[in-house]
Amino acid sequence: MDDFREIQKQWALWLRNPDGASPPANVSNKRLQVYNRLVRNNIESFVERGFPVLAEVLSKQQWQSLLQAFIEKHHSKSPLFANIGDEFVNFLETYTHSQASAISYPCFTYQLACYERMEVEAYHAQMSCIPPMVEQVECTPWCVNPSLQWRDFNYPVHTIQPQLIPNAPLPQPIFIAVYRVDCFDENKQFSSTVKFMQLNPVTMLLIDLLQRQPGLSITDMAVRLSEQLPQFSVQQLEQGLLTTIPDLYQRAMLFPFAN
Amino acid sequence: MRHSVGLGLRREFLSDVLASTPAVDFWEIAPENWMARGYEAEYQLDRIRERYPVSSHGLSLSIGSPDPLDESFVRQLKIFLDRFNISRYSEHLSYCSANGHLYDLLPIPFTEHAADYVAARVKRVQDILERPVLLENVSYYVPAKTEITELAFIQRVLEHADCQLLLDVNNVYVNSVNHNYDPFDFIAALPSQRITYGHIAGHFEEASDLLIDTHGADVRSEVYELLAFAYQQHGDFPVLLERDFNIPPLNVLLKEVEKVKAVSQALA
Repeated sequence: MDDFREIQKQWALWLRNPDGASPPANVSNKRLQVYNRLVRNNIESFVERGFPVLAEVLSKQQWQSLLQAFIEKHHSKSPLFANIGDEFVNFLETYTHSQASAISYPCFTYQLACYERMEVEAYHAQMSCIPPMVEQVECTPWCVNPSLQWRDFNYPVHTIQPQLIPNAPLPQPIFIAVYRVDCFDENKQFSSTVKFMQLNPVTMLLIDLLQRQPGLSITDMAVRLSEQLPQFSVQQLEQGLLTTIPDLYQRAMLFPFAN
Repeated sequence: MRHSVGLGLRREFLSDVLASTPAVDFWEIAPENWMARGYEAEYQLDRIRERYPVSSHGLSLSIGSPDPLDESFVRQLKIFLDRFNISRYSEHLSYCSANGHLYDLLPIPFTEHAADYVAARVKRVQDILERPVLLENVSYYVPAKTEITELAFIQRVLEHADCQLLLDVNNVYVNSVNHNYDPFDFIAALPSQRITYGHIAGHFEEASDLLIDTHGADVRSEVYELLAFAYQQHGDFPVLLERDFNIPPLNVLLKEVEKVKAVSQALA
């Protein structure tokens, strides 16, 4: 290993953990602290902007120690600043479940971070999400809005705030979909809105089915869903879908499928 | 002669640019702030691109990193630059990752080995991008090692990689104060034929011997003087005004662009 790379690694070790690692040799501490400040402020501002609710509900000490642990222990792979939040969620997944920390974090920490990240991911989805027109609901093949993501949560992450902090998991998990709707406004300006929607388990199955198999018609969906929901007949499911599908289309969660 | 002066494009005033299409010679973007940022970002950049030339200035290539070169990122970068038909790509003669990203620019130790290592990586990036890479002289607050001087380090990288220099005159000024050298001598010693692009920006005076390269204030008169001196020494090159913090309204920035332009016109 070349000497210069050893120096760089020492710098990085110290920047990640200025209180624990030894500083690079023969370098003015005052000037090194400038780098410590710049690195920390930059990463912290990205994380704080990406997870405002989590930052608000954790105590200052919890939040600061979480940020410190992220900088120290996580080795971010993405060169894109927009992905720092994703790196943070990946870090939380293992870190908050491990016993590595002297400070304990609320049990919902990771799931709340996932929820907050889904909003950013919806904004960053690359495809246009302008709902196309639909002529006939019955014979249209359907697909899911390309920005839509869903996840099951064991905590009511969508209602968490400082005055409303869950202290136990929900008896049943809930499903939340997050997706983006685009439009051109009256001034022909492009605008985007991210929407959140709690879904019942049957709708969740439907969305999951259409994400895996885009292009199904209502009849196709009824047949496929009946395999997973044997308590309903295909006819009953089809009747239900004739109300559910237009509703999901109105909400721009479903789009007509175009090949 | 018409001197080309551009402005760093920020989302803070992007809608004003699209609405009023001010007379700016070109815009500069950081690819890392536009890649994988969703449909709206692509849509907006397409609109800008229809009306203006665009330069790019990378932030996260980490050309001097001890970590392996992230070639998959460089390939994504090529797709992005091709997609928006951006030919000028510059980056910092710096690194921002070591055992993972730290997302801030750190000073490469000034050694011959490090210079050769960086030069080999620059060549590789140029091969993948199928574009020249322009390297920017960066500001720094303390050198990591000075086996050779900063100037010798820059010269060696440029020669061995056979690449161009983005001369950031504010960085020269900041470094001249922080490390107590003559900024005019420094600029005079740079190879004229390799200087094809320039940057100018404001900085923050933290102490009389410590300037921080914030891009958060108006350009200081000492830095304008350095730009004029650089033109005298090395001839004309396009210059970009950077402003990344405390961003004033677009019309205020456009006045500063005019001031930058006046520097080169005064010499013509």
